Amino acid sequence: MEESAVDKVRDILLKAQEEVKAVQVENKEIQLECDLGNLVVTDNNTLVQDTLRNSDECGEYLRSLARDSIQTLITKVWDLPTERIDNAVYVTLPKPSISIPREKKVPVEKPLTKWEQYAKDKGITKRKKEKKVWDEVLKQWVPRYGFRKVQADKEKNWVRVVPENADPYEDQYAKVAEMKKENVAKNEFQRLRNIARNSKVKLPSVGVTGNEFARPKDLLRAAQHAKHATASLGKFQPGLKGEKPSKGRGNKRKSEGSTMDIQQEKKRNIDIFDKIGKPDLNLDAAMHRQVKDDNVEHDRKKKGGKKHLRRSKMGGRHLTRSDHRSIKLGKGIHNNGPKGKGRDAGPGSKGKGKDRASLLQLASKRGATGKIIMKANKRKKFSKR
Amino acid sequence: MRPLTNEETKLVLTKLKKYIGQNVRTLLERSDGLYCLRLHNNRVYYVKEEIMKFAVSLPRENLVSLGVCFGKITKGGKFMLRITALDFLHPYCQNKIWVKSSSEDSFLYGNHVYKSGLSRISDNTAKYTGAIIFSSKDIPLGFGVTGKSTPECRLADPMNIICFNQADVGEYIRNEEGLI
Repeated sequence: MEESAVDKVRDILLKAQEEVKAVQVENKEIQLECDLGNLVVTDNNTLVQDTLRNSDECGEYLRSLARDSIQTLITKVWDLPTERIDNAVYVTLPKPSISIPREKKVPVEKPLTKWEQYAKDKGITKRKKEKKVWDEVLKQWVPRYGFRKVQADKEKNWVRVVPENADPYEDQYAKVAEMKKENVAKNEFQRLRNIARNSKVKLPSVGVTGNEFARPKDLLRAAQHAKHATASLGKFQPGLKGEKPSKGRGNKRKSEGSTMDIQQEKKRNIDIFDKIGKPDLNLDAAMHRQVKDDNVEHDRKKKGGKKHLRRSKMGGRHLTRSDHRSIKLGKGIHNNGPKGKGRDAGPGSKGKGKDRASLLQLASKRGATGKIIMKANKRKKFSKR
Repeated sequence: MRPLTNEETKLVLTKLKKYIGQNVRTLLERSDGLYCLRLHNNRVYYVKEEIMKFAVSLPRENLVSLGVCFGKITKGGKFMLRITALDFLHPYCQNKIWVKSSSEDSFLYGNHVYKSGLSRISDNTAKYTGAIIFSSKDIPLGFGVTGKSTPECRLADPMNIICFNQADVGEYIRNEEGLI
């Protein structure tokens, strides 16, 4: 009897020991890290390489590692406060500590339309409107838009008033339909413009907007473009009364970098300084003008007579004999070289133009250089600006 | 910060020429190193090249000032000299005005120089040109625009304005926040 009792006790003890062993995990060098929120356990201990290489023991070894880890996790989960609902045990897991990267990229916020942006800036919030409104004429609830709206509209507007100052033969229904079409088109245009704006497509600034919806700014820009679109780039285009000179046309000046060649900058600054207070003279232009004037004068005297040159009806200056000759010879300006006809007209006569040196020489021969400066001072025409 | 355009350079140098005449060249061509004019926040700075190159690495909005501020280009397109330019103007100036010690204070409070406060004026000073104002002990106090030429000064009444105040060292106290 006694022996059997002792055996029983031993059995029970052994069983209890095994039970304890089943949930026990031996201590490791580095504690296991548990993330209960994600139900993840991490074992940072180094693996025993010899056992891993040994194909007989490897499987068993890994299984034991996995078992230890899982056991630790489960123990920790059981340590959390539990509650029992309908005979099932529930545990509320804490927040996960490991942040898992998302699979897809973060969604981009939809770009705002121009109106949405404006409303946001102004703090305008959208008011909810009822889908149906009470119609006083029809004495019934009518949809604000969409299904059965058109039908209701037809019933309501079976007759249309012709405004007093309108053309009596004008079709008022067609007019309303037209207005509606325009409105739809405008909406579509704005929708496309929003898309273009948000996808950063460059839109032509002029010529797209209809006059109906154009803002004053757009109209002004269009007018400026139109004015500028002449052969002389709008230089001789008459201005309107009180019209302001157009701004913002032309290319933007590109600034040099801050660290451009300082020596060069210094030289430029000194050049600018030297020019301060001196007339801005374009010597070449003045020279040509003077030589031409002299030639004309010379010709006129030779012809013997007219004080004023006749201007042709086409607008240009009357061509003098010298001009005709120079055209024939294929030259620009008449020169007063050695007398005689034909191709040997004078020094430097070959070719269409003349170099500046020969022009200067020519001018000085006639004592014209002194005059040039005087004239240039008198006439602003020569100045570069 | 950027270099001045040709028009801006002309504007600045024309103003400087009124005060120091041909000596502007000396400011532009210096023996002790390369100096340049830079525009930042509408202000014109006279900077040594090395300092300017350091400043390039700073973001524009974080850069408060560099070198010496010569003045400001207004929105109307005029260039206004600042008192900070005085140190570079007074060694080269052509027209000098010395004020009596009694009226030094008045000038430093921003008032014009009247005939009553005038002690000396350099010869051949023309009307409406820039002049540097010195105290009786030859300390530069500021600069202004002459209202009378030297011969006219002799005949002027005591309350006639000889020099219109453009800037004076009193601004360092009066207008401290506006100087940067």
